[in-house]
Parts: sequence; structure tokens; C-alpha cells
Amino acid sequence: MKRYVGRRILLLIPTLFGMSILTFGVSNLTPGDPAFTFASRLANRPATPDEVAQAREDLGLEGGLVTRYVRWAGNAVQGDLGISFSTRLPVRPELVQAAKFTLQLAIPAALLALLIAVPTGVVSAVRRNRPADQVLRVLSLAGASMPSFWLALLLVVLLAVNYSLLPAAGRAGTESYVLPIVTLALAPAAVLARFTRSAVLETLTTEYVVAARAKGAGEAVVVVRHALRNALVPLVTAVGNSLGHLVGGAAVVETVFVWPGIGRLMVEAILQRDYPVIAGIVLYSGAVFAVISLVVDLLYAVIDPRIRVGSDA
Amino acid sequence: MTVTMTGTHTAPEGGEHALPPELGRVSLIWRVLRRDRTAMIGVVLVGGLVAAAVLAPVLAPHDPNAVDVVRKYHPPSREFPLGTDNLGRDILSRLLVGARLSIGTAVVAGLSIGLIGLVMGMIAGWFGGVADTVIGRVVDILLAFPLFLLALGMTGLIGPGLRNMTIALVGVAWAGYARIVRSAVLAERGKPYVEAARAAGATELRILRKHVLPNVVPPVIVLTTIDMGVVLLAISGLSFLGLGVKPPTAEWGSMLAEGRNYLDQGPQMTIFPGAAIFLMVLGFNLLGDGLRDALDPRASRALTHG
Amino acid sequence: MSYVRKVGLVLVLAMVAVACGGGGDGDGGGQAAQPAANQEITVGAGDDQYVREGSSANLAVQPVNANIAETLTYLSPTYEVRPLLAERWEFRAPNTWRFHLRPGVRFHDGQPLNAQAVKATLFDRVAQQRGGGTIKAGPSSAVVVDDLTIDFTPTAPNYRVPEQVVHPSNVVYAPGSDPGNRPIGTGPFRFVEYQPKERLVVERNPDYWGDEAKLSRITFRFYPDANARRLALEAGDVDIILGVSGPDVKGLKSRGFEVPTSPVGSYEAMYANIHGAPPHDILQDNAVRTAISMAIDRRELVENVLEGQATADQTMIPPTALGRHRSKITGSPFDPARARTLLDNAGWRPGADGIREKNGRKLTLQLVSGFGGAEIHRPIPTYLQSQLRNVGIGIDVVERPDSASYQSLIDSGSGDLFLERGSQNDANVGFLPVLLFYTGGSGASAQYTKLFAPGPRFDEIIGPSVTEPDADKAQSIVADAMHQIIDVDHVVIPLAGLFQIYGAKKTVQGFTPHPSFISLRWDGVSLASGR
Repeated sequence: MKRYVGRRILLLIPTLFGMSILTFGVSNLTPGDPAFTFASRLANRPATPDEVAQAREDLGLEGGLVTRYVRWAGNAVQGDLGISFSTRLPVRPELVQAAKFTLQLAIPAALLALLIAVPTGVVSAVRRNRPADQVLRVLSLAGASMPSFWLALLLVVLLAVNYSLLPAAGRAGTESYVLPIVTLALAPAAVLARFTRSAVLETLTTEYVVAARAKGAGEAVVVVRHALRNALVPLVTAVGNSLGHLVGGAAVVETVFVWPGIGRLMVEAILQRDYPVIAGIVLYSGAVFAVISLVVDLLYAVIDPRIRVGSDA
Repeated sequence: MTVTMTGTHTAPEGGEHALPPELGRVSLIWRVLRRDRTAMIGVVLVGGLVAAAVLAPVLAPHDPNAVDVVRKYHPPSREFPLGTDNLGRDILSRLLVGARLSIGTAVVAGLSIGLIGLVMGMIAGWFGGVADTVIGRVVDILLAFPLFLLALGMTGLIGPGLRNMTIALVGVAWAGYARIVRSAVLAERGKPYVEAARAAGATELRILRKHVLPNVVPPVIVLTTIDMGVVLLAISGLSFLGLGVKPPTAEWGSMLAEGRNYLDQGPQMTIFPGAAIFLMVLGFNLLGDGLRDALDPRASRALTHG
Repeated sequence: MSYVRKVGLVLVLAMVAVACGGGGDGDGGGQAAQPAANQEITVGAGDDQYVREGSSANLAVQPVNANIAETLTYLSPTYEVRPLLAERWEFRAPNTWRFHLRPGVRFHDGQPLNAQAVKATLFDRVAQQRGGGTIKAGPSSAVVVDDLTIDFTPTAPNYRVPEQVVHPSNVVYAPGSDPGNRPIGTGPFRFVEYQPKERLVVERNPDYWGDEAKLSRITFRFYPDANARRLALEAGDVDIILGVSGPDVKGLKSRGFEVPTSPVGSYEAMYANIHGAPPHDILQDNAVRTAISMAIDRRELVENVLEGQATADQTMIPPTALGRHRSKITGSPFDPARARTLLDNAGWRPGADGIREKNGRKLTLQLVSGFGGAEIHRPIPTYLQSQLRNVGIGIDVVERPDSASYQSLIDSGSGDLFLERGSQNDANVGFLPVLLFYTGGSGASAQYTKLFAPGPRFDEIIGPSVTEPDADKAQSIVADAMHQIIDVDHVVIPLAGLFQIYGAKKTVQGFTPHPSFISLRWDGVSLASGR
């Protein structure tokens, strides 16, 4: 087990290395001068030659590509991701702060998604191919098909502007969490509902469930005690994956709701050619995502002892 | 992008249990599909919207790019069934013509993802060795990141635009397929009938084509169908973030992104493109879901008996 | 799912959110019904663009100016230079400006404002920037004459200093102040707290040298997206928003909001690439440029495309900033017939598809949109495309969402027309034309002059503006130069004059809209009681 974990962590290193070269390389080879962007944005007009030179110096853009990569990668290993082109502050604290804000949405959204998905999925499985199942399936597919930015706009106009029930945007007070979380939760809720349905369906046909039924256990007992419990195993994986994707999908939702999270940071960084931030986000999100999937795998092993045997395969 | 990954995990059910190839398989699938009411909604949606896209030049009541600012923000009427936008262009015509680009991109991207994933997965699974290691490493790297975030980053780095967005998406999304196909191929490779075929003197290519391919293609088809919807969502999302299509080209995502600046005066500019995206993605999803059931023998059996 | 369960979900969700939020976020909550006695407002600002490190650090100063630190002179909404920390100033030949500081002014930390402070935190600070900022400050430029008098001698002839120091990048900080984290100045408001990308909070300075501010507290919230900003105002989250987009004006008014607008301070214009290599060499011909300028119906552009929230002024420099010389710039009439004749005479004949041709070559131009971000120019390129098609000119629109990749197109000269938006943020009217089009001296942008410099005649006219000590004469010179580049050379094809549009609740009083929002003042603003 320990060796398995160790190997998984070691494998992360070449992955991150490859990614760092990719992000750094691509971002430095694209046309456009970040120093000019920075200085022009500051001046709100095309920058003067002096201002561009000043910005180049301030942003550490002097020197060749290789020199800069070595400097950047060397620092990145020590946890220093360089200095943001837009704020000139160290990237890492900014990134950690933004990640905190994103998680404040993503975690409740994942929980909300589960709260919607599990009952829906179980009902769907038990009432398989009956009208209730079909309606729920179409509904959950509809949820997965909804463009989140569209939904977000409609919700804002309806609830925030027309009825003034909730703030339209920004991070201020508890109410401001409601709309972003609901918007963000919809797609994973739909996906997890479908997932729960198929996981429960699978266990419903297994021998011990059939046996439990034969022993005369009530349908509710069978579903909750046996089917759902066994369906938990794959569900944990799915939730882990959803979390990673909630973070990714947050870009759009954060833009609509002006939430200072990772997604918005990324979009802004792209529009400002702030490549230390772009590279930092890609690298760190990769690392975090890898850790999440590792944890999920370990949880998997804890819930289902059978996995442990097969883990070295 | 959530759908892809979850699809990734559910798909092998279909693959592992698929029957060996047989004649009339398509008609069998169609028979199963036709009894699935939700799948039929998907067929109607996808078929209808694709037909609308193909027939756009005939169906469009107006020139989609004809600017006439005097008639801007026209609410839906007989002349302009879905109203006009901020420059007086007919929204219905723009949606119809935009459908070609939006659906076309989704289909092309979906097929590319499926095809690249299929080929890579088969190479890795069947030949093993160095090919497997290299492909496996690349797949690991790509799958180590949240898909949308990575696609977003890549789009930002290689530069915005519909083409670059599509390249970025395809470039990161094929990895999931490759992994599924690889494990499916690995599973098939060890099966007795493959050994038997080999003993009977069949060439590798023939075994691949006759025995392995039919077993890995169905889950890929299901996933590809669903992912066309996912791609459409992702592309409209990127367009919405300002990384998309340049004007005046009509494309659903950029129409929607543009429309939100006119929520007050022309809500139709936001509502209808969003609805079009929603319906198209829903269609892909319903169809994919139905196909999954139809291609999964257990499911179809259950359908027949229950 | 039942209604009850749904409500339950929202509750659970809210609890989780509170747990995650760490509890510190409750303060922004009940802003809906505040009594006017409170005099606290929330401002919806644009993107948080503060620089926090280095010699350009400008927290709470620029672009969102919270009036913490002040400049020596102040830019009025009509582009006049007014006294602020300097009571008066005079020019001393050959190249020195003497500023007489206002007596009795104290920084928020109690230190007195004196010539030593101005030297250290204004002139010596700016001198650390490459080239010494726009005022061209050098290490020995500032000389303390006495406690309240300071001489400033730029490193190069620069007679525009009082007009330039209105810009907030030239504010005076308290000695020892940290401009990137906790700025201390002399202004009517004091720094309270700052959360990057979220909010900046300031409070009234009770010891202000002028009239005490009416507001006790201002919270600036950052909304980069204009749409989100407007929705925040409509939902009651904020009291004022900086920057309303034209299409939203009508809706805001109909919902009972005030929409104050400033005098014109910005422009929307195309620059023609007149030095391009094939295929971007068509606009070397002034006849084609003239035809383009005449083919655009600016009145319709302003009325319908920009929703009436602009003027048809054909200028780059705000008309008020040019004073009585503004009428020297006439602009082009809307005359598509003459545009067609001009093109005919230049050899461009109508082709089969409506696009003109000459020697087998199509009259199709690439319009690159544009400085300030493609987003802000929409839908202008599409409209121009349809307008120019009417006279047989085809337009390909190229959009770049970020200014770096836009600038790379200027660097390589890949384009015929470049759509830009610019604004006048100080009283030095010659600055932008010199930066973009002048080849007679240093300090110009080589990238821009390479494509757009009209040549010797223009240089000859604008050159003296740099060394003209008299403001009125300088305005006259710049107006002549703009006449040359706009009306004669047609290198700059102006489309519209733009003003700043603000949105505010009816209860907000005393707000003076400024064409350059980095010069907004908040000390006169108050909240009315009652509703």
C-alpha cells in the first residue's frame, strides 16, 4: 500500500515537469509583448518606450527563453511561482487565496450536487423504466445540458434584479454564495444522479441483494442497506472527479458572479498575458487534482477491501 | 466538461459485455432505440437541428449579416420570428446559419477526439512496449488536469479563436478515450477467441479489425455522441469568456456572449442562442444515453423482458 | 423534489458557505435599507488594476481613485488645471517650474506637507521610473527652495509640467508611506482596508485641509464585467457604478436610476496604416482613406449603434481640452456619393460581388479591433463593415482579446485599419499625438509611428507644442496638427467622441461626473435622507 502511494506521488513529478515545459514554452512563444501590455494597461493608452523598458525590468522579462525557464522552474520547485505581471505580487499567495474562494463554492456545490443526485438516482434505479425514472432521467440530462453561463444570467435577472432576493454578483455576505453554488452544482448533480442510478442498478442484480430480497427484506431496506451502500464505492470516485471539474467549470460561473476565484484569475491572466499566473494555475491545479484522485483511490480501497488486492495490477 | 469524465467511468460496461459483431447490428440497435422514448426525443432534436443547419440557406428568412440599425431590438414578430439583435440582424437567420458552425465544430471535434483516442488507445493496448509507455505517459499528464481548465489555458496560450479553441479541446480530451480503449483492448487481447484466431493464422491486423475493433467501438460511439454536446458547451463557454469567434460570424456561443451586453433592450439576443445550445446538447445527451442502453446487451435484454 | 426539501437544501448550503467563508464576510449584507445619517456608500468599480510593488505602486490611487493621496494640481471635468496641493505655480526660464505649496496641510499620519515631502515622495519617486515618467524627472530635478516652495526642472525641455502633474501617478504620499499596501496622503479619505479583486474601503479624514467629506465611509467593489456591474446596481448591491455601457442607459433610467454623464474625454477612431507593405499597402493612397472617412454615417453610428451615448465629434483630443481652438478640426462629411467618385477616380472599379477591384486586386481591407480590448469596441467593427460595403470596400474584421497580441499586429504591420479607443487623462493635449505620430523627437512609440506617422508636415506643426510655455498657444498648435492628420492626411479617421457614463441611485447627491474617472472626487458626494 505504502509503495503504491509512493509510486503514485513519484509519477507526479515527470507529469508536472512536462506540463511546466509545455505551459512555459507555449506562453513565451506566442506573439505579443507582456511588458507592453502591462505598461499600456497601467497608462490606459499605448505605452511609451520608457514605460515598456521599465515594465520589462520590473517583470523580470530580460534574458533568453532558456535562462528564464531555468530561473522560473528553479523557483517553482521551491514553491515560488514568480511575480504576477498584473499586480507584481508573488503569484503563489494570490493563487492560494483564489483557490480558497473557489473551494468555498466548489465544496458546497459538490455537497449540494450529492444531496440532489443520490435520492434522484436511487428513485430512478428502483423505478427503472417507469415514468418516474424516465422523467428524472430527462431532467438530469437537461441539467447536464444546461449552459451554466446562460442559467446564471437568467437566475441573476430573475432572482437578483427582478425580485431583489439575492445579490447579483460579488462576494459579500452569505446570500452572495447562493446563486453561484446553485449554478455550479447543477451539472454535477445531473451527472452524479445518472451515475447513482447505474451504480444502484448494478448492485440490485447482484447475488446478495437477490438473497436479501429472497429472505423477505423490505424493498426500502434492500435499497438503502445493500444497494446504496455498495453503490457508494464508485460514487466516491465520481464525486472526487466532480470536484476537480467543479474547479475547472468555475471559470464561467466566477466570471458571471464576479467571484475572485481560480477560474476568474485564469481568464484575467489569459487576457493580460500574465503567464506566471497561467503557468502557476495549470501546475498547481494539476498537482491538486492528482492528489484528489490519489485520495479518492485510497478511499476506494478503504471502502472496498477487494480493491486492495488488485491495486498492484 | 464534467460529463466526459463520468462517461469515462461508466462506459466500459458497454464495452466489456458487447457481443461479437453480427449482421444487422445497426438495425437491432435502431429497434432497441425506437422503443426508448427518451432516446427518440434525442434523435428528433439532433436530427431536427442538424437538418436545420444543413438547410439553413433555404430556411433562413433573412440575410444573417444584413445590418439595419433602424430595426434593431425588434421583438419576435411574424417577419422576425425570434426578433432582431442590436444591429437589426434577424436572430433566427443567425441561429440557423450559426448552427452550421456550432454543430459542425462540435461534430468535427467530437469525431476527432473519438478517432484520436481510439487509434492511440489501440496502439498502446495492442502493441504495448515503448508505444504504450509513451502514450500512457502523455495520457497521464493530460488526465492529471481538470479538463476545462487545461483547455482554457491552452486556448489562452495558443491564442483565441474558434479553430484554436477546437484544437485545444481535442488536444486535451482524447486522453480519456485512449485510456478506456487501451483497457478494453487489453481485456480482449487475452481472450481465448483471439488466441484461436491467431492459431488459425489470422494476421494481427485482421484480428484487430475483426475481433477487437467491434468490441471497443461501441463505447467510443456512445462517448463521442455525448461529448459532442460537451464540446458544444465548452466552446460556447470559451466564447462566452471572450476567447471565441470574431464578428460578424454567427456562432451560438458568441451570439450569447454578445447578447448579455443587451439583456435590457434585447433579451431575445440572450434567450434564444442559449436555448439553441441547450436543446442541441440535450439532444446529444439523450441520444448518447439511448445508444448506451442499446449497445449494452444487459440493458437491452432488460428492456425486452421488463 | 418538494418545496420544503428545496428550502432545506438552501439552508444546509448556506451553513456550509458560512463555515467555509470563515465568518468575516457578513458586513456587506444588510445594505438595502440604510439610514442616510450613516453616509456610507458602496461604489461598483471596474477591474482591480492596482500595482502593489515597485516604483509604479498605486493602490487606491489609480485607476480607481479613492482620494487618499492628492496631486499638486487638479484636472477639472472641463480639462482646466486647478490648484490642489499647490496654490500657485510659475514658469522660470529656461526650463523650471516653481510650485508654491498650500500651507497648513497635514498627512493622515500627522506629518506636515512641505517641500521636502513633495521632493521625496513625488519628484524623486517618479525619477526612479525609467525616463522619469511623463514629467521627465531626474534625480536632481527637484530642489527645495523653502518649506513651502519647490522648484522642478525636467531632464528635457518640458513646458507642460503643471498640466501633467494632475495625473494621479504624480500624487504626494506621506514620507515613509507604503504606496502598494497602505498609502498615506493628504486627501479627504483615509485608507481602511483592501482585499485584492474584492474591495477597497476608505473612511472620512476628519482633519482634511479643505471641506470635510460628507461621506463617512466608501467601499469600492470591483466588477470587471460591465454587465455584472450594472446588475449589481439594479439589485441594490451598490449605490454608484463607474462605467455604464451605452445600451444599458435607457434601462437604468426606466428603473429610476440616475445616469450622470461627463463631458467628452475619450474617442473612438481608426488609424490608417499608410506605410504598409503588400498586402497592406492600399491605404497609402489618401483618396481611399478620404473615401472611407466620407462613407461612415457617424450620426447613425452614434444614435443607433452607440445608443445615443456618444457624440459625432471627429476628434482625438476632447473638444473642451482644445478650448477655443476646437473648431479648427472640421472632420469629414457623410457623403457616400463622393466617396464612390473618389474611389472610381483612384482606379477602383465596382466588381461583380459589389467589392471594388483594380488590376485584379480586390479592395478588401483588414480592420483590427483594437486597443483597449476587442470587447469594448463591439459592435462597431460589424457596423463599419456594413457601411463600407455600401461604397464597395470589403472589410475583414480581426479581433484580438488582449492588448499584447493586438500590439503584435501593429509591430508586424499586419492590418490596414486599427480601431482604438483612447482617453485624455491630463491637460497636456499634445501628449497622445506626439506619442503616436511624431517622428521629430524621442519618446514616441516606434511601433505606432512606423505605421501611422503622417510625415514632415505634421511633425513641423506639432513639434513646437512640446516647448510652448503658453497653454493657449499649445492648444492652438495641437489643434492645427489634428486638423492636418484628420482633415488633410486622413490618417486618423475619428468615429465618435465618448464620455464617461455613471449610474447611481436617486439618493446619491453631489456626484460630479468626470470625463477621466481617475480624477473623480468623492468629497462632495452625500446620501439624501428619505426615499
